[in-house]
Amino acid sequence: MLFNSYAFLLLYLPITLAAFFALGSYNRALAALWLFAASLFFYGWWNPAYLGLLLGSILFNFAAGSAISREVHRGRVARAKGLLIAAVSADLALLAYYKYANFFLDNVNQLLDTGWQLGEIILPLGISFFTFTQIAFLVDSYRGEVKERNFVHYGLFVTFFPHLIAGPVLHHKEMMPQFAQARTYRPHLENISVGLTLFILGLFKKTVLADGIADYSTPVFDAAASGQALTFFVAWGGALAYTFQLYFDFSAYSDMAIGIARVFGIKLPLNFHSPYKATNIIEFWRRWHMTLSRFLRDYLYFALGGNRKGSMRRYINLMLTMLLGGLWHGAGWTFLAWGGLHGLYLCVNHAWKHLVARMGLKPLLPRPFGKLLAWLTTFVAVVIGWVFFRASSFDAALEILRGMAGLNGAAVPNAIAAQLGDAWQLLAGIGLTTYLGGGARFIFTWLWIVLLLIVVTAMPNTQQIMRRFEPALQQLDGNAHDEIRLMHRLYPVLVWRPSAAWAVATGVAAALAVFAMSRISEFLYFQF
Amino acid sequence: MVDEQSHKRFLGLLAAIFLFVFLLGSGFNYLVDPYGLFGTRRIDGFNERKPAASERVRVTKPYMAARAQARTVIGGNSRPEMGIDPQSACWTTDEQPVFNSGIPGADIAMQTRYVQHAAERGQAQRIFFGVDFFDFLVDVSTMPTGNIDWERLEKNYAGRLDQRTGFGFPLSLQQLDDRFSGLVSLVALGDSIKTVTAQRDVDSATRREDGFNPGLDYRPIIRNEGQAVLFSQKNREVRERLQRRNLGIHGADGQQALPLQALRRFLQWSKDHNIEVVLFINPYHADYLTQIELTGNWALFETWRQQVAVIAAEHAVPLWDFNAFDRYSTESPPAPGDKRHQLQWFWEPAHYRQELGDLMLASMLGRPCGGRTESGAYGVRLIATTLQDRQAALRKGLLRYVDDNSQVVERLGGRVRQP
Repeated sequence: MLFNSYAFLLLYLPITLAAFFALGSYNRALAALWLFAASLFFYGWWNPAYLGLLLGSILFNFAAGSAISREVHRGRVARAKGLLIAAVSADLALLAYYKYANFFLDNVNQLLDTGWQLGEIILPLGISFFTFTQIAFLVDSYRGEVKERNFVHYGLFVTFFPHLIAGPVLHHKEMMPQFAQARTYRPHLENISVGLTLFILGLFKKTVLADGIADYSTPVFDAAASGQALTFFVAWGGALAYTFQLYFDFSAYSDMAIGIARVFGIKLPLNFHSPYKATNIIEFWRRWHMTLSRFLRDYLYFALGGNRKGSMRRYINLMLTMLLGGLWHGAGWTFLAWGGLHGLYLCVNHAWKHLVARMGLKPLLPRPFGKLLAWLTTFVAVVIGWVFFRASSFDAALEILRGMAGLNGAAVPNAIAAQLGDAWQLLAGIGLTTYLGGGARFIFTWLWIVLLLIVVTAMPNTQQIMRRFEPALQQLDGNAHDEIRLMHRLYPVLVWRPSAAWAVATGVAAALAVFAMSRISEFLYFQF
Repeated sequence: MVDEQSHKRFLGLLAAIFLFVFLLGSGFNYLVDPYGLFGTRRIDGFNERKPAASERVRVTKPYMAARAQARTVIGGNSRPEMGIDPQSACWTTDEQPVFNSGIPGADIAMQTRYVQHAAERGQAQRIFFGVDFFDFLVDVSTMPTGNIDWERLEKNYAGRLDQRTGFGFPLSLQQLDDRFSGLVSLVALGDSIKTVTAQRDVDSATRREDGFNPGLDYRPIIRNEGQAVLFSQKNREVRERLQRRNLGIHGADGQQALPLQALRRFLQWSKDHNIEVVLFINPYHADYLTQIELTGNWALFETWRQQVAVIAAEHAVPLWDFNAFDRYSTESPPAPGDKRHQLQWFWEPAHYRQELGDLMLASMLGRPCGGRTESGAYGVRLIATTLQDRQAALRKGLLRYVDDNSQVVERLGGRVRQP
């Protein structure tokens, strides 16, 4: 079920919420069970066939986690470790089958010129998310960090519908205690107004902004996939449009998830913190899909040894973590390239920091220019990464990059050139050419890009707007050194409070977001 | 610390504002009716022109047709939609109201189903249906053979045409969805605003309530960029389409492909319903006809014309042919950059103007209209005995035109080398 669907807004959410609090006032265990069942229904709405897979995975991991904990408490660490390895292997095998089997076979077939087939395997929704959250649970069981052992709370932690399909990637330690609190089961007006506002802001970001700009990215990537040569402005227009589409789509989902959870009295971890304001790639990854970054750091990078085994191993571990992070997003070479690219960016960034610190280098440019250059470099590097992330094939990605590099020339619609009068002669003199049609598309592409660029670089993000009411588990301010700050003085003015002005603004945003829902579209991160 | 009362007031006001904006937006969309979906009265200066309707024709035309209650229906693709005017002086009072059911870019199955819907809703007596070479071209290698599942083909739009819901409810789910989307949609709201603000623009695109597309949006392009741009763009599209592989009008099994079968099915339906049909082959500019030859598709074009003639004869339906190298089709497009001159009879190689449409009507109706005296002077009625002569004359005209106009051949990109 989609958050931006009438079935969810008009039926599922009100019924689930009303029944939860009604049952909560009578019996908390029953209310938790109801929410668990409602979450399973939410998942099953998409494809009931995979409900069994989800339930089986929950039962298996809860049993495995309990057994591991038991063995740890009994001091049988080797046995616990064996169980952990077996359980994690089973989880990864399931993920590998559904997500990577065909990718693997395709490559083997190409390499060995064979024709092995597994048939079509439909990727169960959210499998990457519920597999990772449960692997973390298993590892923490082994580390002796799991305290609560209530199956319904565990099931709820895995399936709680706001996060089940596209994150944030939750951690049992921050979730299960909240399901055990009595106050969670009582309605609070503050939670409802804060949660609803977060949800509306997210819905607006998704239906108005992300879906609005999607019309300008998709055709460009489709054209590249069909082998069309793209000119400079078209290629950049498509790449930038996707850059904003992805951010507003995914961060919208996170806002909505955090908002819905808050209405239920549950706080989720923060998942985005204005990543496009970052002035270096290390900072970008502290702000983009933060819960996944946290998981990769805690359960992969650290497990590989982190930076404890020398700087060379650190760079290798970084590359491995990012490559696997790329593969987590999808079974394809383009995702691997995206992960590898970011691994490389991170290595370069760390090496540069190390060099600057070691040699005591002073900035060459005055601070505002240096910072602007750092932001621009980071942003362009991220955009190039998204080209691989979005493109349907390596060739399509390279086609777009060729266009962005200006190798196919630069052209504007003839209708625009005709309006420029004599100025066009100057532009034609430096090599600009024209093409027929597409004038309105060109103008709207760049209007959207400029508008959303201003929003992502100059406006406060959702958690900054809602900061007075602690919308998420963490509260972040950002490091002035590592982000560009435009119009930052206006931030306090835009801090949310339950005032008449905010009610009007939120009400208008809600109406526009609902109006924009008539074009139903899926969230991009559902595919991961 | 903010008290609970503040949150309560906030939530109350939020709900009220949401409802207010929701109703205001929906009401505005209904009043402006940017696509002509609801048939709200058109008021000059407020919502008379419908610039956004041009992108929603497939959705809105069935509703327009239902309101039109037409006695005469015009069908086909965008060419008759822009060329045959329901308000032409050619129509007599008995033939009116006339509705133009032309659907741009639609396949023959959809074109004929929309025409049937318009005719059924108005109990029409006569249909003028324009056929187009491109709409009959299929990829022979992928064209399915065997029986055609017509219901499956229509499932995306049948709900708009079929009034039967099975539960005695007056609207189908698709009709409810269309109306809801027309009222509660941000795109519709944007289009409503665009509609109101575009009323002063005399060149704004529109669809009239009778379904006609007056082609006004071509005017600013001609004025700002010159008509050569329209010719250049359409010629490029035509050439790309004609260069596709495996083009044909029959399936791999040698049977008539879906478009020809759809035409046959439509003519059988009209016979069963006792509705008179007049078929006509749309006129093309010489550029267009020349492209068919240059891409090596002339033989296929002749086969198609012959097949249409056979189907028309089978159903005793008159078929008019407006393909010719004559003074109408051979007007030279203005040179690039020329923003002053424009053609009298064509917008671009594929779309004729309503002035030419009037000449076509005069021929097909067999009477001069609007004071014109050229009735019968334009086009030829194809009959089995004269078909071959007509084909030969057209071919001769083509060869002479190509020989005499090497600069046109060059402008169009020359002859395509066959593999």
